[in-house]
Amino acid sequence: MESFFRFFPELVNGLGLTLSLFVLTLVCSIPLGFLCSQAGLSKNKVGRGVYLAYVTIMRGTPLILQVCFLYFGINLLLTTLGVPADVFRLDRFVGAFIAFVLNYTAYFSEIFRGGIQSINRGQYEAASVLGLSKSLTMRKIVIPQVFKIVMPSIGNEVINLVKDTALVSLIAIEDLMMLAWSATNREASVMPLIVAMVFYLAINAVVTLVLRKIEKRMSYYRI
Amino acid sequence: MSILEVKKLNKSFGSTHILKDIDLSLEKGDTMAIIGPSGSGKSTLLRCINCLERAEKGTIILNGITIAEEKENGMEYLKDDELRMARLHLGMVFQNFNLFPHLTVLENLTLAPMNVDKKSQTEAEKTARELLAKVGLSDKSDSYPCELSGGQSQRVAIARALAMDPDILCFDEPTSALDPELTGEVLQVIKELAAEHMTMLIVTHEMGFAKEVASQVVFMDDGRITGRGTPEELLVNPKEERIRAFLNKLLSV
Repeated sequence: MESFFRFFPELVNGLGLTLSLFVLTLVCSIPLGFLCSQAGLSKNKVGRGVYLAYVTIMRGTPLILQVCFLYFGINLLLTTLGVPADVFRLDRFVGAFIAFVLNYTAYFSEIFRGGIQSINRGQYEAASVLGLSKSLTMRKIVIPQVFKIVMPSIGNEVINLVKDTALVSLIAIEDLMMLAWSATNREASVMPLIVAMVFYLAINAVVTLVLRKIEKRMSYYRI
Repeated sequence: MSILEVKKLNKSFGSTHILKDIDLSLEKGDTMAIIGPSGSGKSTLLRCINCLERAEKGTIILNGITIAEEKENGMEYLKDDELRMARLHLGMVFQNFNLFPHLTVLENLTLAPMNVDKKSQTEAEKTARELLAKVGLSDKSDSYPCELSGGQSQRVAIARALAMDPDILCFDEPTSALDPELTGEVLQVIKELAAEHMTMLIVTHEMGFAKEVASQVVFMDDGRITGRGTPEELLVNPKEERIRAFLNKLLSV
């Protein structure tokens, strides 16, 4: 019991860090994903090529590798360029955050691309004969429908993201996973791991509940 | 002066020549039915007039505005925004309705008037309710399209097109996607519009309806207009062998 009061506050701190990485990544990568999907759908060959390369790399390599590569890679580059370590080095958390945003943006943009492509051509034609401009068609007709279509897939990624945040413990960021693991070693007990497990489950229970609510709110119509 | 004039219109998809030198003119108050075998280019003609497809050669003059004309280096259309405004003279009703599923019936009708014509919500809704009453769907204004039958959907689609107050209303096989028992209610609405002298261009397979409602009939075959005249001339006593064969085929089913 004594040990519980030692590690529990640590884990709560770790939970805070895990949650902030989760929320920040989500808030940035969903809008960015939508913007990137436009490049993937554009008529511009260069735009499409860059998009394809980006998505292929981000989805084709492990997230943990991307986190390490970005964090160590950028700092190594700074060293090579002769920037003194006390002037500027990329913070661990910021490095992980950038890698997560880059990675999740790729997944979200593919989801949005699929969603946008699944909108019936007739919807665009109906909008165009009614005189709606391209941007109005996007705002009033396409996006609301795409949002409903992609919601289940987005939900999957959101739940994955909660668990993926645990990867940052590998670059010594003191997130929930990292602190639970070190407490387990220190206290020679699995209790910290069990508590961490409960925390992750609790986050995803809330996430699932919110996703259900959103899906329910959009169930008033069928496409 | 004609409200719509199409001259020497040509359209190909790849190497397939779909429309060949189509000439067409429509007077205000006319109801023109375009008939002909499938694959003859009827729908493509309508879609070219609407600029949903771009033709390669020819001229389209709508309400005195040349929206597309042939220049030395091919067909030249109006600029995007000008074209968008000029096209508002044309309403369009699709075979598959293409209602916006995420909006209520009323919102389907008010979206364009409010966002394109910049009407106030009160004004747009007033017009929308009048139009819904006209097509007999006053009680459906708060329904979503998924709650409507095919016939009701198509009537909403007609009301939506009318909400933009077009000079010409185009129909692309408006009853082809409907169960036979639902076609009547849609045809009834179109008949009422014809009685009010709404200018209409209707691609249809309903010969009885074309006979009854059209003031002019155009017969298309293999990308050309091969016959035109009043319903009596074309549908009752056709002189052309091809039209007779086409009509007999329909009747023998």
